[in-house]
Amino acid sequence: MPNAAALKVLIVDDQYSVRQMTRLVLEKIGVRLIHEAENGQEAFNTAVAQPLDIIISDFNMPQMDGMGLLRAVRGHQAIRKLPFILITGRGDRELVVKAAQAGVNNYVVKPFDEATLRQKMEAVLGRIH
Amino acid sequence: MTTIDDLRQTFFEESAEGLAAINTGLGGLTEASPGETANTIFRAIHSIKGGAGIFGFAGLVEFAHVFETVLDQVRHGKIAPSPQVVAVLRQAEQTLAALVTMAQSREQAPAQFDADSRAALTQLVNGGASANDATKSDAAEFDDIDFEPIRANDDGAATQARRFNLAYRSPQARYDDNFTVVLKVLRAVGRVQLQLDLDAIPTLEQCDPRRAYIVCNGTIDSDLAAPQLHDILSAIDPSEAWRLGDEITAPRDQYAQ
Repeated sequence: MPNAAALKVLIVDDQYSVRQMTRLVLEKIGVRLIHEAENGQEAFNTAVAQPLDIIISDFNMPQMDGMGLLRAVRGHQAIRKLPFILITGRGDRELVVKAAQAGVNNYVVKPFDEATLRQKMEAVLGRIH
Repeated sequence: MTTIDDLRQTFFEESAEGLAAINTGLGGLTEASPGETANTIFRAIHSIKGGAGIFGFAGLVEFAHVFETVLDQVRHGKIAPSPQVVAVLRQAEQTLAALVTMAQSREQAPAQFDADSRAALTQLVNGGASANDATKSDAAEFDDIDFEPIRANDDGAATQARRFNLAYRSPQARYDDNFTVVLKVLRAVGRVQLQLDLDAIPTLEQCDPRRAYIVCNGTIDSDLAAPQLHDILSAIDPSEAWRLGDEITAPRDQYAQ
């Protein structure tokens, strides 16, 4: 049963406002150890270098998008089992199907609130206290 | 401390940058080479849509989605950016800018405000068939997807594997004593299933006693990606008797251990 305050979460989005909104939602859940990355490449470098419990990533980003990040993580021996939640939006149905085939653990549709994100994370990590 | 109002303001500043990028991009969008410019415009619209989604501006999300659907087709060469198409995109740009302004001033858009532009955009895609059912909410659009969350293992790890075609044909030049070695290595990195192809084996009269005749086809399920498996094979199978094929798209439950 993970403790929210001990969870290490990486938020990936190229938009500062979206990253910060996601951070606010995570902080409401009680998460304190939050890393941020602006694109998939930066996120991958962080994931390899930092111990993490879960990645929460947008899809459409420059340099390496969310699907590229997911595939890079799943293809890397050391972090291939790192839980991964994809942030999706209007019109991203096919993306979710592809992400499922690529090994995404769960997805969350924008806009999401504290309860929704908690439920999505708990479906992957177990009950967060 | 940063508040939601602060972040909302940041979103509108980002949107202004995005609208400027759309404006510049549409000015440079030509039929000769639309790809990269269309991609830049698409990304700007998509970012506005994404932020609008996070901050709950549903009308803005809806319109941006229709707008980006057209740009997606332009960037993939399915719609040529003729002057008539660019005119529709210019109209959409103005509509999007107006919707952003109304969202910023917390003003409700008048009914059917974006109807003309939306209809013109939709007409460009599939002759008017809507890309998505606008009557559904953002989340409801995903309701019928067959998706089960993957629970992380007790060690904090999720189990997932890819499946690839795998084939073996013994080399003709010599007896292959490497077959079992390679098979052991492949079994160490994944689950291998092979079937012997008896039809590919010659009759006894046709056999050369100096070589082996093994032909088999099957699959390997592995957490490793294709480049990693190729690297392994090239390192341990110099005769290139083993062939790693395409990744197979299969339901996730087929991968379950």
